[in-house]
Amino acid sequence: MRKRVLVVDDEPDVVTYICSILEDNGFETATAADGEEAMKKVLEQRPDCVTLDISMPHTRGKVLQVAKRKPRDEGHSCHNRHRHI
Amino acid sequence: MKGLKLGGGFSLASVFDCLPCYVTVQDRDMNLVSANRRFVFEFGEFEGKKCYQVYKRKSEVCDYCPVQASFEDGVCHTGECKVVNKAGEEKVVLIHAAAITESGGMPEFVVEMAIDITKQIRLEEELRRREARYRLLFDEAPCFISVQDRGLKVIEANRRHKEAFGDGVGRLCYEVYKHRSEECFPCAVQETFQDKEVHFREEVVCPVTGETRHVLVYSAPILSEDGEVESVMEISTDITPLRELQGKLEQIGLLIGSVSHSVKGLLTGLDGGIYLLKTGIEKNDMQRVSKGLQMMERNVQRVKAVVGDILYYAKERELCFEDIDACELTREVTEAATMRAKEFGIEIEVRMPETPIIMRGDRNALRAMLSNLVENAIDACRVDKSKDAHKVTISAEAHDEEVVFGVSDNGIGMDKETMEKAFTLFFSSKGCEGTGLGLFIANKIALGHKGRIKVDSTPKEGSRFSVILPRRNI
Repeated sequence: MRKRVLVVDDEPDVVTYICSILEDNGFETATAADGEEAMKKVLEQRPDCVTLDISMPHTRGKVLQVAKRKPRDEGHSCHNRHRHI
Repeated sequence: MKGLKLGGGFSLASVFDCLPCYVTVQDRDMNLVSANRRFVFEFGEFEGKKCYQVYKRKSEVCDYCPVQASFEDGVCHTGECKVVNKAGEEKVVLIHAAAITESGGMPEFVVEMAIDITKQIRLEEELRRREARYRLLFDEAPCFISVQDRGLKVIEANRRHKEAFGDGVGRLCYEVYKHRSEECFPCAVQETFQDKEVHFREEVVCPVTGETRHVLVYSAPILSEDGEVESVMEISTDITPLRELQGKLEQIGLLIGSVSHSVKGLLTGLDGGIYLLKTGIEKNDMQRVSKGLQMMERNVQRVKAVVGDILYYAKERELCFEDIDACELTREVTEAATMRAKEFGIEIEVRMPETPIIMRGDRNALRAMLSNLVENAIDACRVDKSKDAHKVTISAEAHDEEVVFGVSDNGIGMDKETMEKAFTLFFSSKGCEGTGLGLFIANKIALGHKGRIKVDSTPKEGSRFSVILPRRNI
């Protein structure tokens, strides 16, 4: 199964660039343009890795918190799945 | 002084001879009839000569003569005058003239005692000269100097202090320096009163001109003979130019940081374009090639815009006014922005009259100003995920005296805080993408045209920037 990477950046060119490289190297990608969307996708799509623009406005801290959080209804740690944050 | 005998065998003449002053006896015609030995030694022989001939080596009567005054009213008179001894040296003497009367009649003679006070006068003059010199140094020192007592009352101030803060003598230090009604805390002067040490701190003071100044304050103790702090001298040096320079250096530092972030983002975009171009050619994927080229073009345009902004910021460029058509300018800016707007699916609408709007303005500066506002509007739409369709409206309206350029969008909008800071240098709500220069420069250009930018915005609904410029009054 292909690993899934969530690319979070508010600059579309950067998203296109990172996604192209990842897809060319066999990864599945998902994108988000801001923190809010990223939080939603982290919970919905459970990516293996998240690339996060550190200077992106709004909710950066929250994304990291959500990405690292252990889901209540699952036995395994979500943090393990997001080892590349 | 002959013939006058005292008890015990002393003659009055021998006593006069011993006195540490010059003693003469003069008649009504100012003839010197007698003199003590000291006088003769200093001024020479006196027989048959008049007072002023011997004392002053001159032939005219003095303007004021204590001896004559004593002859007239019979009482003692004093005076200070300059005399010249036989060696031609000038001396200053203190004169006491007393009338010698017999049985209450008119005085026949006056005895004049002259005490040599040349040294004292020279010392006094030297003292006065030194005092004046120190006063001059105190007044002209390139800083504000005041001396304060324990109650923080200003008891002395130099000229520069008085010029800057008005006559503060007799008033409280904090009233004079800061227009405050309460004592400052901490206070360098109070600290010096407590520990007798020199203290310094930076303060902001308010001279009478109303402009605040940054000063470096030094407080030094003035000790009494018993070693107690009698008063404290406060010396304040104006360091405002230094602080302004520091502010400019900080701005340059921020500029470098801000621009580096921005350029880094744009380089990533360029990098991405090259990657897509290269891999597109390798894979023979023309769609990818085209996408890569578009990315490169877009990012090159933005690098150009960033560099343009930096140049506007860095150079105090003089505006070059000419008659321009506001509609033509709006069209140019719109055309340039359309490509970028299209990429993000943002519609651009232009509203302006068909006839030209002629105004005085700097074409390049106004183009940069409008481009910045339009870029800002596109960004506001681009990051807004709450709506399906976005639109940026660019308008130009003609009024009798003014031209109004409008740029409105239905993007993310701004809260009050963002709106207030929108024109602040290096303020960006776009993370690493914005340099924080765009709106600052737009505002600077509007102000340079004696105009203003009005902002209306509602969070999540959109913003409208209206640039109101005078048509002709420049």
